[in-house]
Amino acid sequence: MLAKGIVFIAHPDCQVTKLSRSQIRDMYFKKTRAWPDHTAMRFFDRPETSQVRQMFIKDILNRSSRQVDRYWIEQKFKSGDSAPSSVDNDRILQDLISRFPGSISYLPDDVPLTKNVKTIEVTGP
Amino acid sequence: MTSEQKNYSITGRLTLVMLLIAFFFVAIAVVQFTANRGYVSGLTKINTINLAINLCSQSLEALNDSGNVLTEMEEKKFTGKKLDYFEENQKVIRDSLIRTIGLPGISEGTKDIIRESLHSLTRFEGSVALLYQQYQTREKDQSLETEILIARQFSNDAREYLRKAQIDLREDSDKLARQLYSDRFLPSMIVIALSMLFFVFVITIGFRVTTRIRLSVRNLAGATDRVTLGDYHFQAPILNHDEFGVLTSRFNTMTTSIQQGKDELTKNIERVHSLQTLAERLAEALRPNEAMEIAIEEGMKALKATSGSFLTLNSDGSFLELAASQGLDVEILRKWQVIPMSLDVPITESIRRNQAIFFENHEQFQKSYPTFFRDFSELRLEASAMLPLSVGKKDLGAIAFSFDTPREFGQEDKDFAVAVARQVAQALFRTQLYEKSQQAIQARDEFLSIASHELKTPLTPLKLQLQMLSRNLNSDKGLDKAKIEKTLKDSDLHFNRLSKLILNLLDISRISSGKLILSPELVSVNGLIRDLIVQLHDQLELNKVQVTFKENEEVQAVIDPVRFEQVVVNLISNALKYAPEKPLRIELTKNQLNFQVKVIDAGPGIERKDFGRIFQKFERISSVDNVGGLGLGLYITKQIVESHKGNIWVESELGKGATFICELPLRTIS
Repeated sequence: MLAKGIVFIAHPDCQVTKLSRSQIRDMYFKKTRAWPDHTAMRFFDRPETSQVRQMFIKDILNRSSRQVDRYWIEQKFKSGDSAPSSVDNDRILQDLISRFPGSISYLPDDVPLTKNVKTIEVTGP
Repeated sequence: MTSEQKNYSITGRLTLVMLLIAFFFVAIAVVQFTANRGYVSGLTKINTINLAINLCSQSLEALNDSGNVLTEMEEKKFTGKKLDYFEENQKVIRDSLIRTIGLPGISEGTKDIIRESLHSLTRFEGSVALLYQQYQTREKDQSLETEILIARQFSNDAREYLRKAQIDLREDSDKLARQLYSDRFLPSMIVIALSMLFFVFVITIGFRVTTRIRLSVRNLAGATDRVTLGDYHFQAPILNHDEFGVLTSRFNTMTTSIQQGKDELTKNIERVHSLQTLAERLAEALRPNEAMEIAIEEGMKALKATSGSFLTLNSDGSFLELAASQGLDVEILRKWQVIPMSLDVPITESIRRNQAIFFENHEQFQKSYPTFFRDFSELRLEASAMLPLSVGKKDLGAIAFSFDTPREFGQEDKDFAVAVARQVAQALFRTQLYEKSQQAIQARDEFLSIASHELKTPLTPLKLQLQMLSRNLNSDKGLDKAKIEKTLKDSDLHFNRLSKLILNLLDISRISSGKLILSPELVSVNGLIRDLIVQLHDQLELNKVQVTFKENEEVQAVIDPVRFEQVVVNLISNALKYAPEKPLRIELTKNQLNFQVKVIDAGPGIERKDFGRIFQKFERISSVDNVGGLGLGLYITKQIVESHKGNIWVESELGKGATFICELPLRTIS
């Protein structure tokens, strides 16, 4: 089942076509750090105020914004991980995705996609 | 100390404790050293890790500084000067991280993370260099946002890796600190526990040892007090088989030794006292019998004997005679009245060897004299002492003491017994001398009386003869020749007798002063005896004595003929005197060295006990009144024979006559 209003994009070399919500969650929270082909994973977040991010944390992460913030604060001390960088501009985001092998991010589904990114289908919880 | 008893050594225990203390301290030192060494190396590691953490922190801070480059580029305020600062900053970060990787004690995982960080830094620097190029050549409105984001991405990566490295290092540091704590804590606990156990052990041993020492010292002190008060019989109990036990045992040996010494001293005082009493009492004795009685009585008392007997040796030393005794029954006295010296019994043996003989029990006695012990079991001997009595080289007899229980004779006991015997011998000798001198005085008085009587006897008839002759000469009837002849003949007899008496007295005088000089020459003994028989014909006839002279062979000997004649005449006169009217036999024999003259009468005989006496001065064979004489004949005879190196003795039995045997060497006198 596709997330409503969100589309997941990845580097065009990415071999994966489908991801579950939990897989995406693990990627976001840096519990999974590499793709199956061992390419390092890099998640780009969206500005906190954006609607798509709210949709993302609600639909995919299934947490509140505050919980996510707290998670990253904790992780900074626990594992040293920091929250994924946030990119505001959709175009720049797509540019970045195309430049970083192993990168992944999300966009509102109404944004036109360039040919330099690959969409990932979200299936299941 | 039996094998079951366990020896305990105080010094051994103390040595053990000291060794344990030494071992304990060594063990503690080793544990402490090992623990401290680990601790120090642990601390060093923690320090290194802390240094690495600091370096990471500084790097993070510097990296934030570097991040400002991107902000300035965003704001378009960036200059070439800023780039120099950025590059210097990056160089410092890189050096710090390389130094961190090079630190000892940093785990490989952490190093890998730092390497990742370095890798991100390189990409960050590369991004910034690229960005700077674009920044310089950009169009006025060209956006560098994507490039900046990419560079920031690398910067963030480097920061993230550094944070991870920091966290790993902290964890390592914590882990090490915990390890250090546990490494220190466990040995410390063990040391404390061991110390407490050891302390208890040492206190226990120390307490036990001091208790033992205290009790042992008190025990010994008590014993010393008792001994000091004179209780030398006291034996201190041996409380423990340790050094004090040994000391106590030695102490007991010492007190026993002191007691023995004291007993010995008391005994010696008693002995001295006994000897003194014996000497005092013996000094009072004048007669041998008195001395013997005293000797037995005091000797028994001194030696604590149950019986005592005194045996004297006869004059020729052939037998012992029981002279006095005490504590022996009649049967034994009867059996042991006379003991020939040839008999092999302990008492004769002691005289022969002139050595005291002691038996401590009947087994010893039985072993040495089995036959005697069996034959005289009624003596019921246990211990006994046979002490020979002698003065100078003269054996006087022996004194014997017996005991009804076994007893030991130590050297002191033996010496004491010998000292008693010496005192007794001296007393016996002295009393015997006294008795002899008394007898000599008596004999002399008797001799004087007899001599004056004997000398006077021929004088009275001589005087009468002379008076008769005088009367005859003055008579008116004229001289009666036959009467005068008879008177002269009688007078001659009386003169002869008188002259013989005087000659004998002269001989005695010569012998006494050692002036009996012999004039030896080779003579025929046969002829000499034959001539004598002829010369004595009248006298023999007068006494109605028939003489037979038995001569088997011719005997030639070198002797003083005058003195030898005197010997034979004396022996024949002796026979005439004691056995008148009885046959007399003279025998002459010889062997290679000696010749023997036997004068055998059939007279009353002589008692065995008188065998020695009759050859003494002023002694007569019997005190028969009808036999006159001075008792000098046999004495002079013996002296003459002995001066010829010969021997004379008598063999006789009472009532069966007597045989005087005179043996002389054929050629002793050259």
